[in-house]
Amino acid sequence: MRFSRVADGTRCARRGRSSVMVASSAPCLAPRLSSCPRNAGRHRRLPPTRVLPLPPPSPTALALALDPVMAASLAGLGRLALALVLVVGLTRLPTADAPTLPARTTAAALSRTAYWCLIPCTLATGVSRLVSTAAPGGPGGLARLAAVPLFACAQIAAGFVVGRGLSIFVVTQPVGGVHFVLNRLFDGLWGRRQRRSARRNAADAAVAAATAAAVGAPGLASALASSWGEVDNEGDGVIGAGGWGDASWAEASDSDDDGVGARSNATAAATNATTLPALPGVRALTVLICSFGGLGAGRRPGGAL
Amino acid sequence: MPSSLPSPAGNSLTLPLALLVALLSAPGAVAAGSPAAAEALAAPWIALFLSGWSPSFWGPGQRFARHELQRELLGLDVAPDDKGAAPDGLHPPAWPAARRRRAEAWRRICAVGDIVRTLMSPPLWGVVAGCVLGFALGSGSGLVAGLARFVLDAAGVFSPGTLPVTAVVLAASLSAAPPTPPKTSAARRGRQTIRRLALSALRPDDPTERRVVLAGLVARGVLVPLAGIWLVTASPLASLLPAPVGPADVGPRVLRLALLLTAAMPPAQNLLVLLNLPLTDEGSSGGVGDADVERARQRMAALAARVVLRLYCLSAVPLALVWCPLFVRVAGLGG
Repeated sequence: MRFSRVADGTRCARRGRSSVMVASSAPCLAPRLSSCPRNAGRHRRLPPTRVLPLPPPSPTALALALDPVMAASLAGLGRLALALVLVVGLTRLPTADAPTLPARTTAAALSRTAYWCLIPCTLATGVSRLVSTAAPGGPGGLARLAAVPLFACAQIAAGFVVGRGLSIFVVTQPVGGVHFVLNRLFDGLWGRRQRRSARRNAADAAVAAATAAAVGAPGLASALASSWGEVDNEGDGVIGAGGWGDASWAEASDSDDDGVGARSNATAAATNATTLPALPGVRALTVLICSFGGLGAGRRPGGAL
Repeated sequence: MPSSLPSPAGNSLTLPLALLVALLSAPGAVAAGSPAAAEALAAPWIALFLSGWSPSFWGPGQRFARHELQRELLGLDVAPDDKGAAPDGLHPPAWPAARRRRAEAWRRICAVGDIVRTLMSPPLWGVVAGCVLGFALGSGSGLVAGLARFVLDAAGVFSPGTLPVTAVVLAASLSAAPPTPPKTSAARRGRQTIRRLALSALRPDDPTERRVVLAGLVARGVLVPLAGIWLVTASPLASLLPAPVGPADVGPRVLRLALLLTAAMPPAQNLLVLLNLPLTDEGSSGGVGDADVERARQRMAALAARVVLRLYCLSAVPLALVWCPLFVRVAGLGG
């Protein structure tokens, strides 16, 4: 004789067929226990088992069937939405009860204190779990976890750079943002090299031309000057060289033929070249294109800028 | 409000932990389990991330925020704690070269000291204490573990209040915003309460605010998550992370998922806490009346609260529909 247990805890005897006997006055809750030959009058006869149709799928089940990950993330965000509704609801409090400025400051200070207490608690719990369980990632995995804080710093740095750039493009100068950034870019990166080139060209050309003028060779002065991009058309030993814009233009003149004036002018030109103002965006683009095309006014023949 | 403030730091604890638990306990996930088991699996990684995030936020981040606030409020374009140190080449020319060199060396030492002082914020001490206590608890030796538990219980009295008080700060900042004048009758107002409640939270009030929200959404919703994917998968830092040993070793995968999720979070709520704290904590505000500066800062905190609230609502869409499914697959936890 075999016994099986039914829902109310009493035992039933199976007598070699599909029906079973329930020795209890409680109705048999198991659907397969369909009859009771011995005490048939005291027990309810259950209908034969049949397969029930599945209920129609709920929206949640549909979402789970579509993408469980997406549904799970939506479920997590649902809690956030509830919290946000609560927060917005708090703002609808009567204005007489609205927190005053000192109250807000006090609440902020309290929140900061609580957060600073939260940090060691959270970290201690996490570290103790990591220490007490097996080291993730095999041997040495625990030591490699020291790299995780670096990711936090890298993320903050990335957010800082992106936020700064977007604030220029979208917020600070939403219309002229492109020009503004190009100016900053050229002035900061490419313009620095440009100024150095202009300063060197101006000084070299001025000194060379002044030297030639000092030795009384206007033809040589002209030749030297032309090699830096400027021709002494007048034949008076006064040449210009180098640079972008008027501020970096160097004029070398040696009126008394001793070569001193030329050097001082060259120094002045070099000083001016360091104060080259930021170029407007369109002009900077033009200069960039001309420079790459070999048309830049300060480009040495066959040399780099 | 300084427009670049919402971008650098995202929510680092509450939201990523809730999302991680939901994702890890979802049916079909590799690490599927009960929510409690998922939380036990996810919490250590979030805590480790917090150990880098919190000192960065409350140290250099706080300094940056103060600088931005001072620039916005006072029009000063100086470092917040710049004590008038001369930049390169601006020492008096009458000084001899040796004295100039000494002054320059002293200035650099002071700069290093400033950096160290900035980094040594209370959260960094909290991180150190948390690691020590965690090792003590994990090692399980009697007296040390007992002491650690005692200290943690004391700190645990305050820590559960973080979220409620931060929510109060957010709500108080929102309450400080100028109320919109009613345009309809009282009866219609009653019928439209729910609609206004939902819409007014999302609708920026002026073009500048709209642009700040747009910049924050593009930064925190698009560009920083892409940078996060690069950091976790292809950057030199990625090779430093522990790699999964076998299919059953889900810890490193969960760590990657946690790092990816934190990259896509909306701005940190602590930003509002920061903006509601007095600007003159560490000195003068630069000669302008402190009361005026504080009032202007509070107005800025109200604007930031509106921006942060909108960013939280708007970030839910790319987070749920794009980033979470993608991150699960990138981390190797997809079904």
